[in-house]
Amino acid sequence: MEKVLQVDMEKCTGCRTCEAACSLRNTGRVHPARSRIKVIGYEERGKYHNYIPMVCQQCSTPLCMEACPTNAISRSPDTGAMLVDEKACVGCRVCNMVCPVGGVSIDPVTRVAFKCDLCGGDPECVKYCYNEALTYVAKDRLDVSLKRARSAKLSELFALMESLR
Amino acid sequence: MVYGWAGKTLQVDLSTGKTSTAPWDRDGQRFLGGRGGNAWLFWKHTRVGMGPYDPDAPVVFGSGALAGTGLIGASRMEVTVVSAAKTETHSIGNVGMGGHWAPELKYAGYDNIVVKGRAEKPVYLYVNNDEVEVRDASGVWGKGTFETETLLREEVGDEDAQVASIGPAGENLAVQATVEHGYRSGTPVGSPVGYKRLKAVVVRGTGPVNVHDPDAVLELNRQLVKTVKDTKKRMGEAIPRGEGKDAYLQGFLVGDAGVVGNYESHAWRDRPDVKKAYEDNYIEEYFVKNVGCFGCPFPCQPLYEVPGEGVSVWRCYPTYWPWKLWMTDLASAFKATRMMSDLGMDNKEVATAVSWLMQLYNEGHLDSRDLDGVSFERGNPEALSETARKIAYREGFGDALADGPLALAKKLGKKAEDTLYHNQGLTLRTFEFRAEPGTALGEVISARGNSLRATTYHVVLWDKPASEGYAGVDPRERDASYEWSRKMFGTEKAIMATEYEGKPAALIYEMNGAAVADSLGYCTTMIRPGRTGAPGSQFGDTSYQFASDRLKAATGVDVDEATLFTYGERVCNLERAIVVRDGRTRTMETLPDFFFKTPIPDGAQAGRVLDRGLFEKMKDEYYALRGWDPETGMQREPTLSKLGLADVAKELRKMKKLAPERAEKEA
Repeated sequence: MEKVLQVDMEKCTGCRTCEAACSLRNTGRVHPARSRIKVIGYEERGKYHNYIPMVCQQCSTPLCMEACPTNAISRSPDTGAMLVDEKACVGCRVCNMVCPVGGVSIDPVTRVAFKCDLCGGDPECVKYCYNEALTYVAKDRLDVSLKRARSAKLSELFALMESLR
Repeated sequence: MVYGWAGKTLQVDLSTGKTSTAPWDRDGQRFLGGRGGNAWLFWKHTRVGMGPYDPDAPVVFGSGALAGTGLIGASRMEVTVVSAAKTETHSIGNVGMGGHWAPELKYAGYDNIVVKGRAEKPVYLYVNNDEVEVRDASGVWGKGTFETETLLREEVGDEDAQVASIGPAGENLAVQATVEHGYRSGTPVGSPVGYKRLKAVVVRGTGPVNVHDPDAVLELNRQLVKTVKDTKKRMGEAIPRGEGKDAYLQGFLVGDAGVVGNYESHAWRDRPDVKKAYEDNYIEEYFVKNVGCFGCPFPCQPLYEVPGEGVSVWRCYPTYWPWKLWMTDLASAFKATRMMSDLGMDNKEVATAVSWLMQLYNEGHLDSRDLDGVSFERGNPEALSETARKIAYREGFGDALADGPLALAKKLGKKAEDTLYHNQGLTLRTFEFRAEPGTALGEVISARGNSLRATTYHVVLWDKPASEGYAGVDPRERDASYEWSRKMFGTEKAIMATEYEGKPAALIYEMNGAAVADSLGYCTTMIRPGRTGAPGSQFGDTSYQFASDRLKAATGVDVDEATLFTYGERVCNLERAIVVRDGRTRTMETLPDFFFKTPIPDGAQAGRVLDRGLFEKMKDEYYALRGWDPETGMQREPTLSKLGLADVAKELRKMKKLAPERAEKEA
């Protein structure tokens, strides 16, 4: 069963443990600048604090793959993740240009494209997301689980209506 | 290869604008980093008699040894200055803060920043990896810390830059001023920074931190996430402050720490309207979500929004103050805490001064004419907000108060001087010292002066009548805690709040543990070696093994639990050397007479006072356990040498600040 990395941005507290874990697993050092997942903070002190983890969504129609002039990007038959062939990649950044979510960019050290590869089907970041803003779920469960989370509030309302009846 | 640490110190001279880097100070590694590493740099860069407003006085910023290593719970920064708030003694003042600043400093390639000199015009320091610039801050001078962060991020063009700044209070050299990073701060260290005209330090780093054993780091993190999830399941969301509940406000209602007014009452909280205000608290109405620090699985900053006011957090420690001011209007208390965070000032210092003025006002020793027309009626929120504003901008009575409460007391006369309870000029923490001898000892014996970091607070249990959750201690674990206490300190009394026996040992255990955590950059709330003896309380693991495993994984420094404990002891001894060098003596280490003479007026602990004989006996025992001279409180040479501090002892000897030889022979 193909699984996907699901982001529930309402749950993210902006702790960036995912960045530390991702970089440690993939580069051997703690190096958030080279993390495949990045928590984007929208903060205005005293007004609001919102955090959105951004990561490759492994699109159904992967524009990065379509656009890659050297055919360096392909889909893994095992995990469904889009993979970069580092030998074929020339670092032209076209993938980055066309990606709708900023999920692929150029590694500052290797100078070739780098992106989330779902850690071969065992995504490291998910293991440390204590609040479960990141989960690794079966593709066909994706919609249901977010719908369930969002409907929780409505369910409270439902209970309230019951009590008034 | 350096693991864990960045291996570099950044040096900045604001008088000349010159910046340079120095390689890692190997002598400083004895103190790990963070609080200990900063203390070492402070020791090296200060001299006897140095005041906070001396251009040569250093302001030291530091990152905890393990901050930035990806280890969950390690995020803390430290700022160390010549204290302006300890108006009688100065010497070392420090604050530890979580957030994202410390890891960012590591990723930029530095463990510490030592700032000396004084700029001619307001500046901020921009550290962007190895590009370091002293920049013009005229655009943000005068702004609150909230807006400063936003504007400076815009100016450097990087939303990911981390900002630590002072507000108007620091600019105007109010001793209550703080350095703020993300609503976090808790000790006044801001005015020495303001004196340097240093508005902010903006840090951005895109480099790596090497860790010795990446697999071990990840494994330790996996274990901890599991523990946190299990703890939440077992103990619910109330720890430390979960959604819909504020454990600190609840703690006031059930605990015995809730000193009301200027040590005037305890029973006030039993009034139905007060109970109601604190119980069906504003939280459900105003709570937005919890936010936290880098790598935190248990974010403890409840973000609140009062309509029309914007968001802010209750900072943990200042939550003790609404009742200090007889306040039941918690929304106004929230507004004030938000305002003080923005002005860059310590809630505790301001609120305690206000509670003192309220008492004088209430008893008829002052009226509003003495106080620029402000009413200091009990519970009046304006007394707090106006005082804060007046201090920050040095208006009216706030001008004298900005020089410390002692300066204002002098102006107001004898009654004011008599009722101002302070330690070296710092106001006291809101603990009922008359019922908590160990906490009282910690208050006066710590290097910094009042501090949660030097207290039996975390090892103290209230077993009556507060057993329903005082300060996060689960009553279900009380018996296990007593057993732990007997094992550790020979008696369960060591962790019983009102007892004297065993307290010095418990305090030393707690202080050394805090020093290790602070120096590693570990969160002192979430994970604290030596925290509450209760097995399983908080996150379960209170042993030093917890910290030594992490130190080894990240840095390769392989020490056992007992050795790590000596790191904490070493940090405490270095801080002791600093304050003794700067004039601390045994006789200074006591609380005002009030706590020995005036009994608690009401409530469950009514009638208690501190016993001076027993208090002094605790001190004898404390000094002896520390290996210090009980007569003077000075350190002995062998004690320091054994801790690897022979160099420090040598300096102290030159200054005649080492315990006399005769005492050494006795030892």
